[in-house]
Amino acid sequence: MPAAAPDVIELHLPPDPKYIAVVRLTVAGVASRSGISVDDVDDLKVAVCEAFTNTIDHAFRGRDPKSVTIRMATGSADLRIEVVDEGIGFDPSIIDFEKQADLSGKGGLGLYLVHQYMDDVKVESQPGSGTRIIMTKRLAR
Amino acid sequence: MTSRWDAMSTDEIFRELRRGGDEKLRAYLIERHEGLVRHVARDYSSRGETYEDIVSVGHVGLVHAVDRFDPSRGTKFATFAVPTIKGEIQRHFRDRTWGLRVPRRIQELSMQARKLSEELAQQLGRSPRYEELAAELGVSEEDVIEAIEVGRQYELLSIDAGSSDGSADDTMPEMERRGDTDPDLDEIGDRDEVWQALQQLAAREQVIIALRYFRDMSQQEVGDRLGISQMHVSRLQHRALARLRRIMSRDV
Repeated sequence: MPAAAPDVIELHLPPDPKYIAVVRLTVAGVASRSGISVDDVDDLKVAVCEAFTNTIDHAFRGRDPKSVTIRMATGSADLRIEVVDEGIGFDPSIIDFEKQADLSGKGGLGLYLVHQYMDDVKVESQPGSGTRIIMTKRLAR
Repeated sequence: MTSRWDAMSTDEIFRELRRGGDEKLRAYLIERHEGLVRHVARDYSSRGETYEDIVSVGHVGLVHAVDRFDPSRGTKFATFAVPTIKGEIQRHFRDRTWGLRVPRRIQELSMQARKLSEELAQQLGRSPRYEELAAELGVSEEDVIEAIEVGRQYELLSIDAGSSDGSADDTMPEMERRGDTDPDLDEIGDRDEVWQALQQLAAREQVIIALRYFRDMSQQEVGDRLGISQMHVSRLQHRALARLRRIMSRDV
């Protein structure tokens, strides 16, 4: 039997830190409906806001900022959250979540935190054509 | 801009000014230390206001600091000024995010929710769900979500500012240092070993140690980044280090 289609909730936001609080509240509102714990919701809020902040900081260098989409899909087994921009993009092969050196250096902290707090993280990006950060949290049953 | 005072130390200029020197020295001291305001303001830029707005609030704190600093006490001006600037910015955020905007009902609910969350975690042996908190408190889930989020902001501010009236000057130099030095952390061992052992901790504990140890962030900086209080960071760190030591002694 095919699994029921997930419920999808989308936010479109200007890439501005003043909307971080909106993201936090929305993530909490959606995630709480999946029955996950208060602590797990806290982790999700950190992860999604780090991804959003990362996008604000890096996606639009020297370009007109366009709105950022946060898409939350609540399935029966997991919660999948994407942060999508149409910014400058980058080569995602430079990211290595397991490397200690990346953490000791200057950048990379945001995505490290995302990786820590989510069960699975994928970054799809190409120079010139935007970035999609796909984060999955499995729901314990 | 160059000035004939550029070669003088900040302390010398203060002494000169307090001796009844040129009134322009005051403006010069303010200008000389504007970098401090920008530096402090950066820590608050993710809290929903523009950087420029925060800088201008912080600037008021700098002016107070210049007017109140007593060079004969032997502290450095920056040590005195940073907490004063922080205090001004925090008071601004507290007024906006807590006193004015948040209905009393949510303020009270926030405290109840926090307390209940800890009690239930003890009872259940796991973190409770929002619906459990909502049912117990007799309110909607949305109210609990809002209360916890708002309470978080309040906790950040109230702990930063100490329990004083917010004027901060008297209490802050000590708080500034709090959580920044940590001999415990340096002694845990070789970086590679720590990194290996770290992988066996829970995610939340890994993050605390990673940011403190590998990223050299203070407890306050870690708290700001994760949206929790410095006290909470301190508790988590304590637990994580204990576990890390156990793991590492087993390995050797």
